[in-house]
Amino acid sequence: MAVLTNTFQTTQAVGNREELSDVVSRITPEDTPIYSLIEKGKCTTYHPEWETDELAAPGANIREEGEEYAFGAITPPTRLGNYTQIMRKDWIISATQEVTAEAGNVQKRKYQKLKKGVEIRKDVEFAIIDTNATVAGSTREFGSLSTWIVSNASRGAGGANDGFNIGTGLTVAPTDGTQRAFTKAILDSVMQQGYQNGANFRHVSVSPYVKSVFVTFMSDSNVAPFRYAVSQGGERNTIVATADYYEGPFGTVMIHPNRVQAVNGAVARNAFFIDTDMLSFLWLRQIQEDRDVAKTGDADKGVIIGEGTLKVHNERGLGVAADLFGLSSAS
Amino acid sequence: MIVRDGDWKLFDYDFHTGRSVWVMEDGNRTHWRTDYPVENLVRQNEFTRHATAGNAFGEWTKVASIPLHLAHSENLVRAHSEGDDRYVKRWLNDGDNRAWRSFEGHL
Repeated sequence: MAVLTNTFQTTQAVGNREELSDVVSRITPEDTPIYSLIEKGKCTTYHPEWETDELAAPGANIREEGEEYAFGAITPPTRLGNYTQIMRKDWIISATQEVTAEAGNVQKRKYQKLKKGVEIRKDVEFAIIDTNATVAGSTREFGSLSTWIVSNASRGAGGANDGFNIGTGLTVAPTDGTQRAFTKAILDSVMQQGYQNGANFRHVSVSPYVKSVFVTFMSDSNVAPFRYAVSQGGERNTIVATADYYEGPFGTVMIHPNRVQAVNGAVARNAFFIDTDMLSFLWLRQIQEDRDVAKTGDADKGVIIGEGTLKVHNERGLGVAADLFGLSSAS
Repeated sequence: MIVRDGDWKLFDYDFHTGRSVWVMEDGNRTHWRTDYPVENLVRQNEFTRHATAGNAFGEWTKVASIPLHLAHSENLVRAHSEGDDRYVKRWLNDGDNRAWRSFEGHL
């Protein structure tokens, strides 16, 4: 149908507000590498579910002349799911402080809103790379990335995969192994497992320390020895804040330092290999301000809240090199 | 304390890398500015290019070190995710972006 003349459309409007979550996503996307990389979608329930199906492994297929047919059983697709997690940030500013600064009330609120929005986005990143298994109930937690991956994993001695449990519908956190230094052999092992399982790893997210170890892989025995320039006194270590583009045996890969992975040793010990087609973040309630917070007392209150979950389309498209020394050469 | 640079207000500062994020309200819109010190990186890349000159593409060759904000704003991260290698390689092969290359050679 044609649009009537003079219909005022959103494309002509200049004052339409963008959603807070859109604005927040655009501010320094490099701070939350995995969340920025993956697609954002919507879900309509606190327990979204999806299915994965796969082809049987190739094998010998030789039949006799005149043979009667026999029929194999169909394996139903695996049903996967994750629970949404509610994340919240809040602030309260006394009315006196509100008027003390030169900026107006709106701008002060706006500033806090953006700041808390960016903080909540980092919390989303933290929840993705954390080691939390899925928790159902009223204080729900979504199963983090490390609890899903079982197919393409390299773990230290004593480490064990757990992954998604079809019976309970929950993920189980893996068992930690003995920590070890990140080596090219570990990297190649995960890359090869991924390649064989059909993954197309294009990004690797690691703690800043692991990224610095990664750089030393250039000094492989089959290439000329390589020396590094030492930072001059007082200079910043900008080399850490870069996306490194590598030509590897299984294609090109971009390595991202993830500062959120440097928060503690438990999250720094994992290096994630990501095929962005296999991962997305579903919002049940996008990051938004609760505008109905009741005003009480001599202060201005604000709440930012969001509820969402991680959707692992198929864990075979993702990989983890676990139990690494992620903060220093011995931790 | 609010740190200011003219109308810009400091939003975030990273002590490790020296990155600073600034915000400015013009009454209507919110503007963002990210300052990255890259001098060191340009020199590191240049040093690496020289040190690896003549090497063949070995296993895990670091081809480029690109400042993170640039990798995002130039859509390299997105293009790489979507498998648009032609775009990324064209960008990397462009002489204007030579400062970010850490290995010579046409991709």
